[in-house]
Amino acid sequence: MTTVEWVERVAGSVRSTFFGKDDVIEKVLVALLCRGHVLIEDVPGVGKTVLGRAIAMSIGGDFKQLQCTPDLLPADVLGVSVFNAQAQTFEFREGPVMTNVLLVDEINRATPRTQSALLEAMAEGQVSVEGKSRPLPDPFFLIATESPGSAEGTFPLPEVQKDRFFLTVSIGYPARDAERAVMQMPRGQEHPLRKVVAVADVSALSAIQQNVLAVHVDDSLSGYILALINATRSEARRDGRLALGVSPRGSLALYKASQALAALRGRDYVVPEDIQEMAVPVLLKRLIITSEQQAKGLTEVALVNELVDALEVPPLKDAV
Amino acid sequence: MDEQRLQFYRTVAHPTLAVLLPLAFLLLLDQILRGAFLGTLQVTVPPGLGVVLIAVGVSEAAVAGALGRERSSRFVLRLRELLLVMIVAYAIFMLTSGEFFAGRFVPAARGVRWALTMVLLLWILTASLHGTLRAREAFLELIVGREGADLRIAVRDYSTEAGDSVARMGRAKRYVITFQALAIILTTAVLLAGAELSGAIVVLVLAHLALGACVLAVIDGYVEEQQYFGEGLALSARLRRRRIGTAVLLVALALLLAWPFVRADPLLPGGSLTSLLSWLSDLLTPPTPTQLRAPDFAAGTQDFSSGESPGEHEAIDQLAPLGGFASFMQALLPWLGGVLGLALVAFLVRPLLTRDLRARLRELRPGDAARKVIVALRQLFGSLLAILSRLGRAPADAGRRIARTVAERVERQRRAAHQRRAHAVEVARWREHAEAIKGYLRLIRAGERAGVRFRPSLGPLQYAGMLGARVPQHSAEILAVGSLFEGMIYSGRPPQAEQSQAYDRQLRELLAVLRTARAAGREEST
Repeated sequence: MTTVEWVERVAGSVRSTFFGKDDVIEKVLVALLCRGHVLIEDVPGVGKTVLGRAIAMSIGGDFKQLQCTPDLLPADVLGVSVFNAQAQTFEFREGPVMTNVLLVDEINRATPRTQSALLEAMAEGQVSVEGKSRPLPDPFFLIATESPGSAEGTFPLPEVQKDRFFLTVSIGYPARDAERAVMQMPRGQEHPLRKVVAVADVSALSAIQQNVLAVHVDDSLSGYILALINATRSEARRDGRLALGVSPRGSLALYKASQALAALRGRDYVVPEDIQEMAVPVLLKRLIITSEQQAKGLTEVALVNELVDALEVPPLKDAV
Repeated sequence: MDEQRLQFYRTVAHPTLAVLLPLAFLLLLDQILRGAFLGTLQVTVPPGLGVVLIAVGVSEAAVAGALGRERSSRFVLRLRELLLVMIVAYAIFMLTSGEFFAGRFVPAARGVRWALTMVLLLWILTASLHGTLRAREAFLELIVGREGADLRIAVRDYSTEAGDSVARMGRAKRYVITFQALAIILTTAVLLAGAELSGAIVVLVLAHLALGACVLAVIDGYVEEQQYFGEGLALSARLRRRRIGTAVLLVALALLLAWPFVRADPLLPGGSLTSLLSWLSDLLTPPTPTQLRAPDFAAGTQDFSSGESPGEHEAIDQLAPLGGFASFMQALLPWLGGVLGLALVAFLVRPLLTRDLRARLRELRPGDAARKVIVALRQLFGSLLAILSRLGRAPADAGRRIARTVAERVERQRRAAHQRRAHAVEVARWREHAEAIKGYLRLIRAGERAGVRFRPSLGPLQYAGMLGARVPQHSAEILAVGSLFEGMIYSGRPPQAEQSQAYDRQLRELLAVLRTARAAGREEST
């Protein structure tokens, strides 16, 4: 199965229950293909759970959902050893993290300690419990959600930890037609999500992910990515509008995301539009705007778009 | 502007400027007038005149500083100070002129009068010049410790004081220029009169000119610094050091040029100090017996019994008819003198009788005062040592700066060469796609003629999309050309003949279609 076929099948399956947000589906699949994780920052009730579950079921993987609360402990996430009285041994009971697709709802409600446990799983692909490392299933894909703005009783993720998410998306309210379709969807006794079936094999995903890495990125476009990243760092250095520019992890993420998007669209090479399209979701949470600029109403999205608009695309910049 | 720098201006820089320049001017004036024009008058100044002048200048600076701290600018206080200075200077000159110890009391000897005039002039000139510089200190006090926007706002808020400071700097410059002009006029007059220019005069002229130029430069620097403050900026320490170094270099160069002209004439302060010390030594050395001689008892006697010519006492004879008024004045003058003297003494000692001064005297602890003096002397010594060590390090620092500048330039050139090489590599790389790029540029120009402006930040397919939206009936062809172009440029594969031909063909057809559409559009509009 080619990458395009795989993507078409999975996206088609997800679209059967998640209406009107093809770009969001595309971005989440980009993160999946790059072995990254997604942070969805949005208000409740826009379909975050539906999206995560639909993706898990479509790729034939296991799905678990974790609702974060302030009293959630790391052991509740990773697992805990329980004493089996009959066998007189300790048995490890896996936590919800041992799954293919994990939806972590309202991650900002969990304590920093619990957040760290999840972030370790994201970064390392394994968890340490009672001194023993346990590898996570492959693929392991985490979708975390966070309500925008701070509220009482929450522990917002610090910027340095948000950097670990491959990209950030915002679903937003559906279009009028899509919302009408959601309302008019026949429900009956069966939840619509139960109709989503696996259209691909989980094992095929690994091969697809390898194919993505083989997508060609021209040297000039690598330079284009670096120019964009350096522009963010220059803004920070010049005491401009940024307190912190994008890290090398961000440049690598943008590079891979461009490759994945190109593969999604059936190309074996990256074009400048791929980079421009992935710039905002990848870089959104990787830069910190100064509080002065925030007070003036500057947003990360506006700043990234401004920096992209200021950069010249090769090779026409030399020719025009 | 920090507190330390303000203190430096207040205690070192401004007093030095205020004392040095008038001193140099007056010494030059003294040398020229006495040496060249008034030589026949045989005016002999008391030894140590230069030392006394320096002391007067320093005392004026110190008292002005103390009164400035007290925020006191009453004229009476300064008058009192001037009178005290004149009295003390008069006493010193009387002692050092030699007449007193020789048994003669000539209260208004020519040399003493000359020296007192110099003291008075110096005090007035120093007070005037120092007064203009104190206006600057008053302004700096208001902005000390502020930076950036805070400094800019402070300068705006205290614009009156800032303006006053600049105006006083202008006045100070006028003083300096006046001194310079007078020095040049006097020197020219000496030359025109054919009088001999002694080595001392040449040295003083050159030193005075150099010092005047330095002081003018320093005052200009003050005004420029104030303009920087108005923008919220501060002069860099490096610039300040460079200016000071240039000024010192200028003065040293002037003195070096004058060195060949220096002869055995006593130059101040060294010469003056030597003459004073030599006089003191003579005074303290008891005369040897061989130096004693028998007094001339006949000296001073006059035989009045013989008929003297009335002309010897003509002056007295002339007074005779006015005897009544003259004798009244003669009787009144001592009383007047006494009353005036008492009034003067009362005026001078009045501050001692104030409660405030008595209280301060009670609080005064000699130990603390002595400690303060010692600390101040130590600080001064430390500053001098720091200046000397900085001067000593200057060549090494300059060498390091030069080496750093050279290294930075080399690095910049290396980076520029690297960028040029990288650009050349990139241009060479695009050469194999030159035809495709040229073709796409033709499409962009056609698009701009159709009203779709190209921006360098637009990707090729993005621009094709914009152009397709403008010409929807040919949108598919435009997007196809854009996709082909991107495939050729970014795929990393060498250009394929079939691909290039397909691209050229589609591009030609598209451009023809766009030309036709544009022509049709023009026809419709006409």
